[in-house]
Amino acid sequence: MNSFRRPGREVEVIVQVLGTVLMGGFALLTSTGFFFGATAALNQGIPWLMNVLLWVVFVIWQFGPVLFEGYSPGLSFREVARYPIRFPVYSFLNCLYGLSDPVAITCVVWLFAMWLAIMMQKPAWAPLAAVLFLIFIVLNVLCNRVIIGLLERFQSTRRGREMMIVIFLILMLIPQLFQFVGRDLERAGKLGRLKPILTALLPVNRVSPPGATFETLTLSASEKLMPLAILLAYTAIALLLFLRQSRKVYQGEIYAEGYAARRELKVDPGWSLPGIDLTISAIVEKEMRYLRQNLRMLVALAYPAIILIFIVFGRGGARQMFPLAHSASGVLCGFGAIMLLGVPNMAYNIFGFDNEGFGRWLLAPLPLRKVIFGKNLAHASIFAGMYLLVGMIVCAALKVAWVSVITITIAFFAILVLQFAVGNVCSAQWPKKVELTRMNSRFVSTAGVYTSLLVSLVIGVICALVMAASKFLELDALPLLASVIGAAIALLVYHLLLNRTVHHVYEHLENIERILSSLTTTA
Amino acid sequence: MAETVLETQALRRTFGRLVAVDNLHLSVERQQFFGFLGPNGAGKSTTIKMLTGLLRPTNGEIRIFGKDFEKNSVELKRRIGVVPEGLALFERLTGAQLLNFVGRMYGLDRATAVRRTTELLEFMDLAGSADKLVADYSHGMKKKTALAAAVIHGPEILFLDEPFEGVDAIAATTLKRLLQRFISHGGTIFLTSHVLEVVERLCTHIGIIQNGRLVASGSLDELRSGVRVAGHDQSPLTLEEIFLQVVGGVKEDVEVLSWL
Ligand SMILES: Nc1ncnc2c1ncn2[C@@H]1O[C@H](COP(=O)(O)OP(=O)(O)OP(=O)(O)O)[C@@H](O)[C@H]1O
Ligand SMILES: [Mg+2]
Repeated sequence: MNSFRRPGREVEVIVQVLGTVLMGGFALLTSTGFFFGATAALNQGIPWLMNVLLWVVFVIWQFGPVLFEGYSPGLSFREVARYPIRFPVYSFLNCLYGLSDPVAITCVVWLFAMWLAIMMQKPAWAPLAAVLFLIFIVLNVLCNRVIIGLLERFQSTRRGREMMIVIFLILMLIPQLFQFVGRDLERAGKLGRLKPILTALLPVNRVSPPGATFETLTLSASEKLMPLAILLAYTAIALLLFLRQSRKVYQGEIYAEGYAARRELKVDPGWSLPGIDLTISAIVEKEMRYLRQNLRMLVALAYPAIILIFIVFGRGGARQMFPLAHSASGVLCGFGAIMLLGVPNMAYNIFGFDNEGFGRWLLAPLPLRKVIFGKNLAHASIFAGMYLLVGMIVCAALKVAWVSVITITIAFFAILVLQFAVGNVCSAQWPKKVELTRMNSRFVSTAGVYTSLLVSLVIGVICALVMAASKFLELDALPLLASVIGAAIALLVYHLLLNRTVHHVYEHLENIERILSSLTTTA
Repeated sequence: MAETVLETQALRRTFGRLVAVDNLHLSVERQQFFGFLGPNGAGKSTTIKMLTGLLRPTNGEIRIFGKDFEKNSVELKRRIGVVPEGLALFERLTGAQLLNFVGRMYGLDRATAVRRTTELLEFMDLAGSADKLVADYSHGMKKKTALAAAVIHGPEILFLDEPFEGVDAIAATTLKRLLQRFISHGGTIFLTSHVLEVVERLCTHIGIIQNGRLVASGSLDELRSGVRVAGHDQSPLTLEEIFLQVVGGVKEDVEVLSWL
């Protein structure tokens, strides 16, 4: 971004200075850790600790700059690249730029701390260590530049940016997975089981850059050759990759969205769904195509299935977190409930993804009822399909009584229909433009979220009352009866609210259109 | 006598206290090429939106093919084609998917939709980008896609809000030929544009709107005879001269931004 003269400039500078100071303090503090770690490795007889430290440097160097890229100060290298310089100079500057990253500087400081420890404990190793660490630094810089180059290229496409968002979301999931698994393992006292995995990884370590550096340093003179060759080979490969990539950029390759143009124009015929008329098929197709690009929504949809896996197959800890998981029908019920909690994301802002396309629905020679029904059909079928699929897995694995299966399934569909009915009204009442390429853009307006919570709460209370009544009054058939009645009510409500929604949309056309096609999004 | 295909009676639209369109009486006959002109903010787009169902009139009546638009909107929408102000495209479909989709929304069967999509993509010179998302199209390409979407079902009236804005010279020429062909085959066009040369060359009839009110309307000759320019010689007035005369002319006495 170009830095214009802005009133907040001073604040920005202060924040940057503070950031640098903090970063420096952090680097110094942690480097004493590396110093003592290396010292311990050398004189306590635990040399592998040094190997671990090298791994830490390597991993942080490769991932840190990527993760914290937004925070690194200074000018972008692309701006330097505009000046008329020769390729070797250009490449060298490119490397230096990589070295100027705060994370990279921290890593160099750590390596220096380790080298100091080596010099004090085993002075004879110091010269070799200095050379090796230098090679290691060069390797890291080159590697990092190549990775960032690849990412930049990846990010320059719309699809790539969206993939990045998803990757981050999945990364955010991982700690939760570990929590689940960790808890289970801990309970079973199975942490010791990790040992064979570590042993299996040893050969991998030997051919890795940190492992090779470590072995060249510590093995006897005759054995040094092999790891040294590996280390140099890595560096050479990284250098080649770097130069190749660097030359492309130097020669002016722009990371633009590239599409392979098809030589022959071939238009695929649209969908024709059995038993559904052609226009509704077309609407369903359009919605599905939109959804396929909406990776964030897909990830959100996958959450319940992931949680289910832990409920069904996890033991101990994971199960204890879900009280319902003690009975087979409870699992199905719980899964249905989790699925339903995700419905508002899709149902409460049905026009939100269309943006300026909203007007197209009004131009089309279709009653708005049909459009909304088509959209609902597309969205609901996804939940229905997932419920049926996972429901079958649960039934196969856990032997649920068939009365419960029928009751829960009818109740699921009743609630689904009800949520879409209320969702339609909210979509018309509080439309919100959603941008798929922005990570923090919510799917539903704030008012919509509150409404959906309220609706879920009311439904939850009704379900609980029915369950309690059937238990205390010993009316075994009550839940089934209630869900059938609920389904009938839901259909009626859907019909009535659909009319209301259509009316509301027609009354507030320009308002909805203005919100959906506005350039700026309101949070 | 030619058939009146589009007629408005006392059409009015307000936004809060702002009157965007006021007491508009329009009448367009079959095979007319009607140019709807006016300064920025005059109410042209608002009028087109009301005529095509994107906006509801506050008051007044719209009749298309003699039928009330509000009461017969589904049937009438099938017979008109629209390029609205914001284009209203589903930008996350590819060009091919979008046109195919729009075709089916108008009730074309699958085979016809595919055939016309292919023809239109080639005609609009979009075949090379048919598999790109519309979101990645340039402004002009989006406009051409919207034009293709407006004609895919073979409409009888076209409503075009600034169709020439942003398209290149080659495309504009092809487009003009397309529109003239459309007229000669019995179609009717209602278009707004700021490019007065184009309007003068293409349009048979013209309406000029200012501050939401229709201030002049008729064929070009009728307008010429209605406007007198002081000190003007005998050569026929250009549309630009008429336009400036009707809407109040340039502020010649005001100094043009002294600091520029
Ligand atoms: N949704 C809306 N809400 C409030 N005011 C509006 C809205 N749409 C249009 N207006 C106002 O109505 C008036 C007419 O706008 P319109 O878009 O019809 O002008 P136009 O003739 O198409 O102008 P241009 O030549 O710039 O396209 C303007 O004053 C505009 O600010
Ligand atoms: Mg306009």
